[in-house]
Amino acid sequence: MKIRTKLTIFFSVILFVMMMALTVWYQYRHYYFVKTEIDKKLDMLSQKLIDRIKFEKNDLFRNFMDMPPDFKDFKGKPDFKDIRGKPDFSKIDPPLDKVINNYTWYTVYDDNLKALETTNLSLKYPLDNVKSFIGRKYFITKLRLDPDYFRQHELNFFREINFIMGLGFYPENGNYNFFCMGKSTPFQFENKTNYLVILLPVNKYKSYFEKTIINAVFSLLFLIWIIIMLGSFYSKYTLEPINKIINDLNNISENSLSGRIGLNKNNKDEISAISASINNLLARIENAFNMEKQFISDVSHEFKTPIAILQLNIDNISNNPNLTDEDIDKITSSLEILYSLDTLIQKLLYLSRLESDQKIFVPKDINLKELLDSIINNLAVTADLKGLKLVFTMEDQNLSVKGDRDLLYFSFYNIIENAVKYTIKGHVSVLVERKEGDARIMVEDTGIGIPENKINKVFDKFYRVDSARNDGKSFGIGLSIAKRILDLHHAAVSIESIENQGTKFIIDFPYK
Amino acid sequence: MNILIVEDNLRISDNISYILKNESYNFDISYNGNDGYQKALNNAYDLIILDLMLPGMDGFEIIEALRGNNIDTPILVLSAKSQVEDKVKALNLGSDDYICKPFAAAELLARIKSIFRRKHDLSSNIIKIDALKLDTNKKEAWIKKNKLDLTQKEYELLEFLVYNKNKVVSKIAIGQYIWGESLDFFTMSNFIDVHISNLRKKMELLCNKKYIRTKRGLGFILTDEENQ
Repeated sequence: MKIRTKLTIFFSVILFVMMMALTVWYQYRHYYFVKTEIDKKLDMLSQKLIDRIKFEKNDLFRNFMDMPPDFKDFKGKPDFKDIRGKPDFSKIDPPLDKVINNYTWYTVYDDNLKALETTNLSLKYPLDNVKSFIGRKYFITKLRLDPDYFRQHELNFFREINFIMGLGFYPENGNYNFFCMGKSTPFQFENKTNYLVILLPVNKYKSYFEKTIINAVFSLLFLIWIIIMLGSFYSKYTLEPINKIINDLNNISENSLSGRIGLNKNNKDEISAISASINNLLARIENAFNMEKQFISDVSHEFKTPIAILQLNIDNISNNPNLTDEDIDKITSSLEILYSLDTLIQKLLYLSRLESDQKIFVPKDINLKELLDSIINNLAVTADLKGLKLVFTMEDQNLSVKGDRDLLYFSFYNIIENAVKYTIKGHVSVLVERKEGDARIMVEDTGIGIPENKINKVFDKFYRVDSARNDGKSFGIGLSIAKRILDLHHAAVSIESIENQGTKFIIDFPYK
Repeated sequence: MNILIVEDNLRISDNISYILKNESYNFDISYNGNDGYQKALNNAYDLIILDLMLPGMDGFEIIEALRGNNIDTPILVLSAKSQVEDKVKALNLGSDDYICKPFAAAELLARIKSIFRRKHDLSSNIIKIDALKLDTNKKEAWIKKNKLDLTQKEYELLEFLVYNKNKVVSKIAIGQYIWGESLDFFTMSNFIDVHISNLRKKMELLCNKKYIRTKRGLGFILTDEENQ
């Protein structure tokens, strides 16, 4: 994951949590406020009911146990006002009173949890459910009211000056569900502990809560979007210098080591510091690299002069007519070794130039048929003398690859020559075919093969599979140059080999 | 023939002078660039053998300065720098030939003779050895009146042997002269054997005289002598 994405996510999550906490806090404050309001109301209602029960001290309320409270029972009582009549649901105004603005019902239980009195609709409501609330200070529950019940029973509405006692019913869009907040209050009456359980519908608040939550969710989503956008832009802005470093570094490795990361001199942040450090490191690497390059080049040139002197000396001696056969053998072998040494130096120079990327080429279309033909013609002589069959098969004569002709010649020449060199009898075959768009060149021999654990080392400089094979005249560097050249051409090389049966080099050139 | 050798390495210049002495050339030796340049400027030479890496003026500067002063003495560059770019640079500046170190005496001589033929119009461009006749301009060879049908490599091989008439040339010298690139010794040796044998066959078809002989171990020799 990119740092930019990580930072964006990190800051978004942190900001989101903060916003969330704020919202929750705000919601809670509001809830708390509302709850306190309802609580006050419940307290007040409970107190009034309890006072009334104590004040009446008669059976008035007990009658409610068996029948709905009758208006007659309250008639004449100064605090009650007759609002009885057939309820016309459409005309019932919701109470506007700010404190007592809801319909209430209650039940009084004795300490055995026997319902002593209740509003008649509370009877309908499963008492077991309410019983379980006894002892709790507050609870919230949901009442499902059956509208048919109201049609069958004559309802009693008691409106006190400050509150409505009993059950009020207010159909809200046919929704008969009431969310209620309730409270159970213990009180002493006739030396017994009784409980008053009172329920207050809070539908109005509920929808208010729901609305608030939906608003909060939408505003949070919007906030998240803004936070992500801002975070993304900000991290892009902050990480811009790092991207610049990456680009600069890529350019440096693709071209040469001489490039450096551009520094902003006015900026003293960590990125400037890291850029300076990288530049420092690059300078040291370049220096070391140049030194090695120069070293190989210098050493090679320094070797050439002594070799030249030796060769000339030996040349001059060999023209002496009085040499014995033994002398001649020694002279010849010295000349051959000198020549091999020279060849090795040439190859080392070649390799050092390849590795230092001095030899940058412009890729051209190289016809494989023409290239391999010339190599095979050159090697045919050697193969003939060894009695080997050198076979060249190519299906598509026009197959070509992109690259540098001289380099590819060197590379293929070394691989095929190696096959010829290490094959005593049998054949060496070169096969070119189109493989899924790639050009595949296979060089297969029936030679001595390479032990499996040494296949990977074949391309190492100066590596020889078997040190006994060293004839003292050639050095194991041709294949590593060949590999390096193929790498430059983005070609993949793989080797399959069975010891004493043969080796197969497979070279895949990418489709151009 | 007057030759100037500009070479700071004493042993190399000694060897070159030894080779030239055997061929009866006159020569001067200069051990640094500035001295070499002055000598080349003030004396008339037929050839300058020039090293590239020299104390004082380097080889490139000398070539440039001489050609700038309208001195068109042939210049044979002799250098340890074997990169194509160096060769191209030296030849573009106006040198006539380029030999990489290390080199064989035979190669040096062949190139010197080749330059002399090209530049100094040596009597004619025909070399005759007994019945063998070489036209170095047309790159053709005859035996008596019959033209030899040679490939380019075979002609170069013959010319090289002719330039080193009566001297043993090693396979390595031939390889360096004709192929130039760094071939593996084993491969190169086979190449030369095949080319020599082809050349011999072609020559023996026209004339039963053995011009090219094998010197055991050492290499080959082209000679017009009957015996041996």
